[in-house]
Amino acid sequence: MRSRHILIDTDTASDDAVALIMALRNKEVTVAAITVVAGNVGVDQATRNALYTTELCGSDVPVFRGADKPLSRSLEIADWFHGSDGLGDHGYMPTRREAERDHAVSAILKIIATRPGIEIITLGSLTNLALALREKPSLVADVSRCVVMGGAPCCEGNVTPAAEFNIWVDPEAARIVFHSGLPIEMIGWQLSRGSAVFDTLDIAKLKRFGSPLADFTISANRVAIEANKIQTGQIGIALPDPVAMGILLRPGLCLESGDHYVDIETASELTRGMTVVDRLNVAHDPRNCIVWSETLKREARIKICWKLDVERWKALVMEALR
Amino acid sequence: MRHLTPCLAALLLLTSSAAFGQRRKVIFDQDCAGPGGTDLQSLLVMIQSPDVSVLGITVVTGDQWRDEEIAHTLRLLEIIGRTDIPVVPGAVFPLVNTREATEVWEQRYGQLAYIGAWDKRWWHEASVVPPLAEGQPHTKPSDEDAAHFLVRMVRKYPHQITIYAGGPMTNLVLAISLDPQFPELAQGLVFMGGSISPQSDDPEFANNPRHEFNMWFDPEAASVVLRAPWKKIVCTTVDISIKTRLSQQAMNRIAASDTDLARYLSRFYRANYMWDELAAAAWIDPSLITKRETRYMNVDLDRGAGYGNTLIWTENDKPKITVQPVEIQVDLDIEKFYEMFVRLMSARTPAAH
Repeated sequence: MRSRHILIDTDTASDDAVALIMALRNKEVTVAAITVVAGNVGVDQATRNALYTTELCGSDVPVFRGADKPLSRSLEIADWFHGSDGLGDHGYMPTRREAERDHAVSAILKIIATRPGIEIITLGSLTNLALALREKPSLVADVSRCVVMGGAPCCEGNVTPAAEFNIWVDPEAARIVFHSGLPIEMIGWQLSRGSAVFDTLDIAKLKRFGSPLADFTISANRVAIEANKIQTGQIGIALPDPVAMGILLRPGLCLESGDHYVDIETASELTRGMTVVDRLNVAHDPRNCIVWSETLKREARIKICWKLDVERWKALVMEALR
Repeated sequence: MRHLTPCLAALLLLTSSAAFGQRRKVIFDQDCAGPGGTDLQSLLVMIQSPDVSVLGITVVTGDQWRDEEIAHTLRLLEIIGRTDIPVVPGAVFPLVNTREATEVWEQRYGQLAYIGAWDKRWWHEASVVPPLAEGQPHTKPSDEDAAHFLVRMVRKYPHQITIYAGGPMTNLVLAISLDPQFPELAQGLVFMGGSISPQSDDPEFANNPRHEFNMWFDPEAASVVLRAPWKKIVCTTVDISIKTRLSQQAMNRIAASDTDLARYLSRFYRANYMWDELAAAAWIDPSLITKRETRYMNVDLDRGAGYGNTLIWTENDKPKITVQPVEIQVDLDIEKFYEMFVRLMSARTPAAH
């Protein structure tokens, strides 16, 4: 029974594509739409990548092109990590599918209005969702979950020492979404590191599948493997978006979580896009309460996942690619 | 005119744009606080002009919250019998700026003279619409939101519509986000906003000369909109606005006219600068402006003391980032402006067209 409806917002590059495959092949959820935003790559490339991935899965889910740049900053892409086409430059065939005519923001507004209780997952910067919230703040009431792949809670970032890429790209948009009252589950970048990295053994296992989706995953992440090795010293494929998708599909994969005040740094250049987490509950302290007043007043705590059930998550990813 | 023969005068009348149904098209994007006041009086300048067709009023939070402004606008249109003009709900909140961030800012940098809908003297939540002194409206706003309406209209009438922005520019930045071609498909942008070097004893302007409400309320929106590829941008700043004043004598002359509109205006009269009325009137009759300058304009987005301040440059010293030329109004024929305002407000409202 497909009873759960989900909307995926993505800046489709290598690990986004794996997350899309997981959702499109899952029998328990219906993907109502894929909305695309600029981030890892430009919005046109990301849209082509999303369409190509849906085609690989034999899905005709509507794909909507969205914001081509952050709210007020210029776009800085991550081709150094994902390859210039976002999919490892492995030379995939041009897609036959086309994006819908509507803008992603219009689509988000319409789809939420017609499917109350929908679950949203964001795999890229939060520009589309922020624009939708500014057009209709009340959409919050019709969203039952909002899983955000983004941030580096209480740890180092992957684009600056302070920040994770998705939040860093458009920190103003992230701030709007984090302050909106949406039921956010924040899936930080760090969950995809360490034992969660698809190592050489996991990759060998994928190769033995011999399935088109497993082969695609390996070739689409070719550049990412190199970049990950340079950045973290770990050999293998880090898959932050599939971690978020896993938790969306199976909430039990998150073994430890907590509700915290979170704010996004938008002023400083040094710490731009940092997800500042009040882990020890000190925001109320008189020394902090002025700076934190905006967050405190909204009483919007963010659910942060601190620990992933790595073994069961990897099994879920493998199952989708088999 | 007295040197013309009656025949020629009649011919001139016939060939005037309105006579051929070629009214100039405008979308009125504004924070429509009411009753009366500069926001709605500037709307009336547009509607009362026989040369103008107001395609819609896109309402944004600014001087008051959006929903309260929509109610005042709808009621005004009922009073003047122009409920054919769509009132389209826009953004409730600015793109990034918030009331809470403003409170924090004020603790650091001091109190702002005016913060519109967020002012604690008349504070209520965004969704609350207090009872209207001029009566409750019976009509309803459009179902469509402002950003989609703006995009749809410029695509329907490409290069024909002037976007008049008399408030914070949130609706316009949302429209640009939806459709990056929106600015170039408009005929141009006319806005009231920004402040450069106003000459005044009023401490609000003398102590904080680069601070202006519309730009400050949504600085990120203003910055995107001012750098967008409009074919033309015309700007009415604080500097020229504070040369004007809506006097009791002018209002008495309007009140002498026996219309529901004149009664409404005189009932809700407050002495004030004619911020937005001037921007609207000068678009209709550019000869009101006697001196103009071209400058490049942006908004200070740093989250410090100057957040939201107006930044300007000349051709020679402008920065390398994209900035657009803006025609800034410097001086006006003030008597001609007052006469035009009194004439339009005293006239019968043109019928729906």
